[in-house]
Amino acid sequence: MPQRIGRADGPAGVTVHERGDLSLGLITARRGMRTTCIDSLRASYDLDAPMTARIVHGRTLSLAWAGPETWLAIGSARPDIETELKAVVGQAASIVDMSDQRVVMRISGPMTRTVLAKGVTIDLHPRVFKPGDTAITPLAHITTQLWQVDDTPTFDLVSPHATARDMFHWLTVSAAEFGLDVGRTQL
Amino acid sequence: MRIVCPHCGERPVDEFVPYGAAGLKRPDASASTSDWLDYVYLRDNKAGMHGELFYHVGGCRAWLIVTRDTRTHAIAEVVAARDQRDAAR
Repeated sequence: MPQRIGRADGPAGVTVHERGDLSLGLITARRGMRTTCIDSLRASYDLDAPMTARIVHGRTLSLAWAGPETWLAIGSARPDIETELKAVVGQAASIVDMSDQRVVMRISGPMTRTVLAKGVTIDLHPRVFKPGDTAITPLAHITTQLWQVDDTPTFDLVSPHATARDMFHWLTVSAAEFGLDVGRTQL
Repeated sequence: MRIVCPHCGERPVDEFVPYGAAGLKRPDASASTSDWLDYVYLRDNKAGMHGELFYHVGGCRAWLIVTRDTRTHAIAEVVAARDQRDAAR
């Protein structure tokens, strides 16, 4: 049973759970080696690393644009994503294991955009922000990467570990008026 | 004030940290004291188009060069500093 925060009647306006079962790696192409880096990622994962603010999903890994020539690799938990990615890109990029540095929260439900609008300045209207789009922007003053998962709408929010509780607290306050169902989470 | 980041699109200015004049040429180590004084301290304080470095700390974390009119704050151009550097090579 999820825990309900805020408005108790009716279906929840927003649901949230932590995606705790992920491995995250940051890939930063070295100067002049962007093409080599992209080619090796394509060869191993059959994914075209996005050059604009998008996220692409493969069979075993997703790649989110995370700045110029920088990508966040997201995969289901594996023993050592850093060693894995280093073996793939070799000298073409520097790799940092972010699995313990970032917390990913998945929020979903009919009031998700209304709640997010309380915390970000960017426009998340479906006309301009669609599934697969990503952005790095402050959410409640915490620099956050977010991307849209589907049209429910569902979004993933990526916070630094140190500020994840603050972001979760912001969410509980901001979504209370619509009813927030909290699923499995350790926050 | 809003800045159109070449990577992230239009963002409020509070996502950015200004650094100061862009395009300063660091003098050679053996340059005169007056050349170093000029480089470290003396700025033109132009009334007109002026290029400044901004760091997009709340977004793509890239250094940008923002060219604006100091009289109106109208922004004429925003480019990634790395692209300008690479183009100059």
